[in-house]
Amino acid sequence: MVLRSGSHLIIAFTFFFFFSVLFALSTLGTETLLNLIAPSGIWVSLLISVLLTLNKIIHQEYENGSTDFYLLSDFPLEIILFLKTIIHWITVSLPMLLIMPFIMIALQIDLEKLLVLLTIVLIGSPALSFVGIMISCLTLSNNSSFLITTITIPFYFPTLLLGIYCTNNTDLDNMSLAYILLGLNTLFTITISPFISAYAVKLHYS
Amino acid sequence: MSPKLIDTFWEFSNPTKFKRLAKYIIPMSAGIAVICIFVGLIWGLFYTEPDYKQMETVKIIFLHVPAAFIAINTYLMMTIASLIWLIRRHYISLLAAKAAAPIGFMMTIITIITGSLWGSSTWGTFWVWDPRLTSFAILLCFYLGYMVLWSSLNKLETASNVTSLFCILGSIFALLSRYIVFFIDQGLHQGPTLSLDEEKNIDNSYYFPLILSLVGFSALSIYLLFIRTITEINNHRISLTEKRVGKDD
Amino acid sequence: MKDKIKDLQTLAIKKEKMTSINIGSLNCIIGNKTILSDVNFAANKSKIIVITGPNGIGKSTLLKTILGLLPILKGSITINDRDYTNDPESRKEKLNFIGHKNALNENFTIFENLRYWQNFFSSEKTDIYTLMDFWGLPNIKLSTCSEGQKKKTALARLSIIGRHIWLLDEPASNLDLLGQKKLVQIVKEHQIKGGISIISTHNPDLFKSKNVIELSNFAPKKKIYNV
Repeated sequence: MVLRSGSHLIIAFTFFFFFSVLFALSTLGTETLLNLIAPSGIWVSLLISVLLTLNKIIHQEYENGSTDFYLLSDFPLEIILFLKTIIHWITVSLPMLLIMPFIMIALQIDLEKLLVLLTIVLIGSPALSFVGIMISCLTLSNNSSFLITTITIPFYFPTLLLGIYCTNNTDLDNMSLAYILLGLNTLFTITISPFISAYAVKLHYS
Repeated sequence: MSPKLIDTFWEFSNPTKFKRLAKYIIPMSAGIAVICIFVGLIWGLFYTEPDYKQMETVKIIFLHVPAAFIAINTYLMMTIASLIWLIRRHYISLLAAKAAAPIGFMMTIITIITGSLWGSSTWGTFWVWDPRLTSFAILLCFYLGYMVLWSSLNKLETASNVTSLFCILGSIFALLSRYIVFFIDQGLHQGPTLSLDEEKNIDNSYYFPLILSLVGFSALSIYLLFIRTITEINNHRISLTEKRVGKDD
Repeated sequence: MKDKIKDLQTLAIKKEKMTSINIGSLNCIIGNKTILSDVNFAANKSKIIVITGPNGIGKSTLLKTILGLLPILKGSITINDRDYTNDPESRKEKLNFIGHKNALNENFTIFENLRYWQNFFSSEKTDIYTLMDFWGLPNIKLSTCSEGQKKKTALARLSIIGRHIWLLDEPASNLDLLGQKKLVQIVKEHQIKGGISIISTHNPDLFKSKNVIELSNFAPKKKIYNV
């Protein structure tokens, strides 16, 4: 399958950089306040970037009729959607992971926690993409980005809550329950997402 | 459940029989609602003693607890109705779920407002992110999302399927969030106010008016649900007839 | 050597015998309305069936129902003597389709689009450049193409996908005269190979087919406009 990612990586990098700088500036640099909300800064920027790009995964193709052909082909629709979500994750979350050191500097988080933070975001971010595509497939016939954002946000609560909790308490042991729950949440969403998204796409054809 | 009972239940998926049932239930539930809420509230508000710590403000419990109860149960009812629609394709359950959404939404809002008013006097704050309140905020988001989804899609078939799927997924994720929040933070709330076994109950003098109020709210929500469902059925029939006749007539 | 040729010939004949499609008493439903009832036709190998009718009668709906994109509540579809009414998944694998939307990505060039769909359907590697020459398509970005060129790209994809049964929904729209001639040419080639084409069009003389189905015979008696 030909990779269909547009090269928006530079935009992604600059977005995350600007966002973290803005977030830090918004607290006027007072150390205590920034320490408290820095982890949520990371997760909120990731969330916004995922939400803004969600409608590019499958909506364009529904509009130009490509989903008809996806249904016609030998590939199961689940696999197609799964691969699309992985590509979305690569283009949205990997830039964040790559410039994590700079974000951490901007948000004044200790650089010793870099590895821990990387693993947390690595485990938690696929869930965002997979839940996103699951819910955006529900709104295929309506290409409003606002609608997709509104509908998807409630489904992000588990991932967000767990992710922010984990990043807040990075001094927990590695196998503590919070990390396991985060991983379980991601696995759960990855498992159900292709099937439900494919079902939702087929619903739009009736 | 004996087979007979289940069959009679499925009979009500026929709109005419449902309307006949509704003719009995609507006045009956309206009556029960009025009586129970009236008696319960007056008894609770005026004839019980104020709590030694919280004075009179604790009486808001008579609104808060029943509303919370109804909010959650309405969402459960919507999930089951959506499942029935997706599996057995009875229009009644779909329209009932659509009708129940604003009822549950208003109950959630009542819960949140009464809760924050109560909290402002006892805990000193209007809102705090503890498990119960966060779960209610999440429930509010799911109700909103459901109603927004209904109004945003044009074709009835797709809208109905999509919203049913949304409701079912929403219940899974809401439950998940509830347990996650519970895991994260034990919270300010006391233990359960009412439980099925009567050991953990609050004082008897509050117990009965609360039960009355609970029954009254349930009857009220049933009444509203039936009225709204009948309206939705009629709307649906009107739109079907319009399509059949053709808009040029 | 002669045995090998005979084997190949029997194989070819078997393959040709394989294609037959039979539509029995099909009801076409969109939303809640039955817009066509008791549609009946059959096609064996190498047949071209042309479907005509006024606008809004349900030509696209009929093709989409056969394709499996819309559900079938009444009627049957039999392909190669096997009932596929309740099995849209396997049915779709035998069909090829052209619809109103082109299903092409505007940001890519024509070549990239065709190569994408070729990889997707993993068919025998037809040479894309010969196809583009056949249709007269330059290798430019799709967003700068005219509608007719986009339609020709979509028609080129038909040859890439192959398959025995072709469902074409108004394939000649947006095409210039040369394009229409080429369209007739590829449909004829498909016919020679033994394939079936079911084409909905406003211009039945274009394909010179003897099997013309007029859909207004299947519509309900009252006037119903497209809802």
